[in-house]
Amino acid sequence: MASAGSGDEKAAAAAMITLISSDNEKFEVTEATATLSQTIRHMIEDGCTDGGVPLPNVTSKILARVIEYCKKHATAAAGEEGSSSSFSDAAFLEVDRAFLEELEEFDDAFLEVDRATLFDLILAANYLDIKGLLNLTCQKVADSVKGKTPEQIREMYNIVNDLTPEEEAEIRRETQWAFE
Amino acid sequence: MAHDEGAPWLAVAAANYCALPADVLYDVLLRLPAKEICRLRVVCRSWRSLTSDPLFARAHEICTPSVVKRIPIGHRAGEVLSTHGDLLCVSHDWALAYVLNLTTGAVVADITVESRSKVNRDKPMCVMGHVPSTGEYKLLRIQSPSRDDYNNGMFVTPSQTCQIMTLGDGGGQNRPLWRTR
Repeated sequence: MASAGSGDEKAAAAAMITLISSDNEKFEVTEATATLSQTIRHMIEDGCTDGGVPLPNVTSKILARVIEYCKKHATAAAGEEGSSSSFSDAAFLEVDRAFLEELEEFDDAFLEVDRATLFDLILAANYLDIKGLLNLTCQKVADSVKGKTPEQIREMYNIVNDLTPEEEAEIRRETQWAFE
Repeated sequence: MAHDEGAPWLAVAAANYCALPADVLYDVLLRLPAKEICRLRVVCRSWRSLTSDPLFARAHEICTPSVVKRIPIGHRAGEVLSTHGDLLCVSHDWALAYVLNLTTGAVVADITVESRSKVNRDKPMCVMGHVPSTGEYKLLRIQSPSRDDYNNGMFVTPSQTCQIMTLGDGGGQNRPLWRTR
């Protein structure tokens, strides 16, 4: 199965896919970039990408960012596959390490967005089923919540406390140890 | 549509609109350690119900198997009798048992049934079971005659009593009762 997959990827290296955002902007990407999205990968496998892939849930602003992410990470994946033949092991490791560092820096910079954009990226990653991007963005939200009080979280994320004071007191009693 | 600030459902709807869909929130909360999750249960109703879901607890267990959690289990060392999913039944003696939720550390049911002086049993005999069709958890207690009863010649035919208790709605408010057979 793995060999069939890589064969497909080689054949598809030059193939281009057109993605169409909710506001009707067209983005042309390589198949290698597009298939980081499992949703699009399945569409390609089913042969229903002719004439472009409409993405009614994703705006052009967000789609541009998502494609930026996929391009970078698709290059990383291609680099991992192709470089072993052209470098000695030591050189390969060195290049690999440098590339991973660069990728990490890219991811950190990529996440420097406001909350609304971050949420939109999460929704897009969820809809397009891009594991790496969903991981990255969800972890960012999780990190932002860590160590915060419930009050701070409500404020950060505009969450209205819809628990009655009695319910809140009861939960706090039940989970007393977590507040210590 | 009129904007009525006094209507609580509107505020909730507005909050939900800004928030992440449940499946993504689920993914986010799974990444947090158990202690954080417990603190976050008071954020709002939807966070509470999401983190109280047994499926969530199970998924969390798989994601973070190394989490060691401190759950106070009472004044005396209890004997763990049975666990089911994220519930743990701790029994101290015949008359005293309770069920803990392992995710939250909350006491789901506190079953201090009879006054302790009335009972004279040396072994806790409480087991917990789950009824998949109804989703209910039940506790079974089997009462065997104690050694003292034999010694005192209190009865002629030894008999056992089975008692079953259905755990309440999890609120811990209504004290459940034993059904005797």
